[in-house]
Amino acid sequence: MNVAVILCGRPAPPAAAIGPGVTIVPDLCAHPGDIAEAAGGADRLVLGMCAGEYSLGRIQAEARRHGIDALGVELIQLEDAGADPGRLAVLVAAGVARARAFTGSDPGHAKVAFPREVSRRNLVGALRPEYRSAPRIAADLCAAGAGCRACVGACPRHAYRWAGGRVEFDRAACEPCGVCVTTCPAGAITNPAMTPAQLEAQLWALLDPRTAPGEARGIAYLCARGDRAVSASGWYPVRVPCTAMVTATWLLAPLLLGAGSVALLPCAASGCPLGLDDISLATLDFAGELVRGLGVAGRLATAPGEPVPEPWTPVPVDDPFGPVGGAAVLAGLTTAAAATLPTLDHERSPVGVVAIDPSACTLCGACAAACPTGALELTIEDVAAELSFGAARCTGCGQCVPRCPELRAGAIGLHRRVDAGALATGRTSVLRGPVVRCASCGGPVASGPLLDLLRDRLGPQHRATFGAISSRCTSCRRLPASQEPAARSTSRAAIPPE
Amino acid sequence: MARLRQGLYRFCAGALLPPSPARVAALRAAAQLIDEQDVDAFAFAPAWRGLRATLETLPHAEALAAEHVRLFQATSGRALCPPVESFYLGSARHAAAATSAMSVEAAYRRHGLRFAPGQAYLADEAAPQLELLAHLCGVEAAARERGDAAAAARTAAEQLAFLDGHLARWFPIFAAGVRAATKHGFYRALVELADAFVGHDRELAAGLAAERLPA
Repeated sequence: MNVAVILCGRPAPPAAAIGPGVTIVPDLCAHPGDIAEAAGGADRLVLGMCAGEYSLGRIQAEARRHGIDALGVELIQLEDAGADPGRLAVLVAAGVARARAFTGSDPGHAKVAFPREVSRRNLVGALRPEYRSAPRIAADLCAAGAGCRACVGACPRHAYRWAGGRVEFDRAACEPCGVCVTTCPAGAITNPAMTPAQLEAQLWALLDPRTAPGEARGIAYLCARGDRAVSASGWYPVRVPCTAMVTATWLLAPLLLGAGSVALLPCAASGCPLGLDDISLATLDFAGELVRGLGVAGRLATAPGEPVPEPWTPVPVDDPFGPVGGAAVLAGLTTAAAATLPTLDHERSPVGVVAIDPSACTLCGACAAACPTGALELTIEDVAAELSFGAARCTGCGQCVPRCPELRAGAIGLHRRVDAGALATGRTSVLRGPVVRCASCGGPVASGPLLDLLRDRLGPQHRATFGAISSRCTSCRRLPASQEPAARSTSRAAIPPE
Repeated sequence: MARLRQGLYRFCAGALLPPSPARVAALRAAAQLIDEQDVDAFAFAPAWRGLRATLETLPHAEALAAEHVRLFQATSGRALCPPVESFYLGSARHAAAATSAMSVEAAYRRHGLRFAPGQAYLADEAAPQLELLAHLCGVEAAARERGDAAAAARTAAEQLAFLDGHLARWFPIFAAGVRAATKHGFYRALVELADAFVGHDRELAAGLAAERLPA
């Protein structure tokens, strides 16, 4: 993949940043048309420019004109580098890493926006829209068919709508903040300009010890909508569509990749343009409690500029920015800090604990069918059903709770909780019970406790109905006897929902 | 921008009509005029380039006409993807067709348009709906050219209302049907463009309708 790096020549970038393949265009902000010559057949574009000095719409148009995906153009704010050539080189490397990790967009990702400064001239004459990258749902990964509607509840703009087994997305209503991306427990919602893979690539580049050796580095997440720069020595910016999308996992994971310190900078002073300050502040609150509990409070800074402590040796973590990366990151932090994980109850906890009341649960399997991450599983072997829970896969999304038909009886509860014991235990059996098998095909009919409950509710006057329901599975109940399937051996099959 | 949108709506309307050598020539001429405007400023530019490529290498009009009948001609009763609103919206087809056609015709009348005598369109077909939007973009462009931003914003609001009430509701379903029915060629490229453009224009019209000039 050919990535063109073009830096504005005003002010002249330091010589150390001008590596092979980097082009300097004088006064690029005022003459984006000059991108064409410098880009010369590139697949991706990284531009270093001054914030607020350029028209994003014009840059995107230039990219399109030369066959480059406009939503994949990486912009480096030159103010972040200051006069330090080493910083600019690190920022360029991170921009290139992000550009390489960009996998492309389609027209459905391009959300129309208008320039912030609208003048009479551009409204009447050459008004050109600019585009933000909007999320899309991958239908093959989406768990809406199982009842998940995490995005519907999370979107502050109500852009997602539950439509009976699927979720509809209204791009016009979306103000791309990314909250849905990091909320989706199935990893089905992606924004091509801010994927976990891009973030990880960017962080590895920002924290690469080969650039500026010996420098302890801090990572500061901040909103891409503002013009705020991060130029404090040792601190590097990661701009996101909105800081509300940054989960505690995203915030703290850079500590495992070689960052000495991390910070999250909500738009608190000016106010979040989307009104999502509360989410960012809650994330900070949780992260603060966690690092204090681990005895490493100094790793979470309140602002760039604070001294950056020496980083830990990087800890390998599988998919730290993925939807179920929370448990692995917590485990990594515990190892790196050589501390014991504290037990914390918090709304922004990246992991959860599902509590099942064995006296009320009927082993119907509705919670396991709804669980988008596989934290809850129902397995059936021979004549026994078992509900198990793996805390490491639970994101606390809460989709299991409303699906429970015995919710009023208190069969299920969710705690958004960091529970060291549950995470350390691994998958555990929650409840085990008998399964009644179909008299015709041998498949599972339902669990014993569920049929007991059904018998009690139907009462003695419906004994015949209960007999029909409890002796055959739903498929065989619908078929005339002559068309019943041959008896089959099933194991580990889910109980069909009644 | 409004002139470009007017041209694109008109182009898409014409391209969905039954093809003839004269119509194909007219489409090529219209495409050249659109090329002279800044299409690259818009996210649907790659789809436009895709359509331009197929337009240059079109088979003769008879082959295109056969594909048009196969895909679109609802009157045959066996069309794969009739470009008609009432086919896609509503479960009671006949009632939906009548309601939809009346509603669309009312919108045409409200904007001073009516079908020419002897026309062969259904009232809620794609081509006249696209033509109406082309007309409204023309009105908006004229308002902008005389510096009347308030009138331009009002017209953008009318575009938005028509898109929300009609074209943008069913066109994506129609486009998905065409994509499934034809894997390549002119009509595939046409719906790729038109679907991207209509979705884009709905958002754009919403933005333009809400625009206020600085004092």
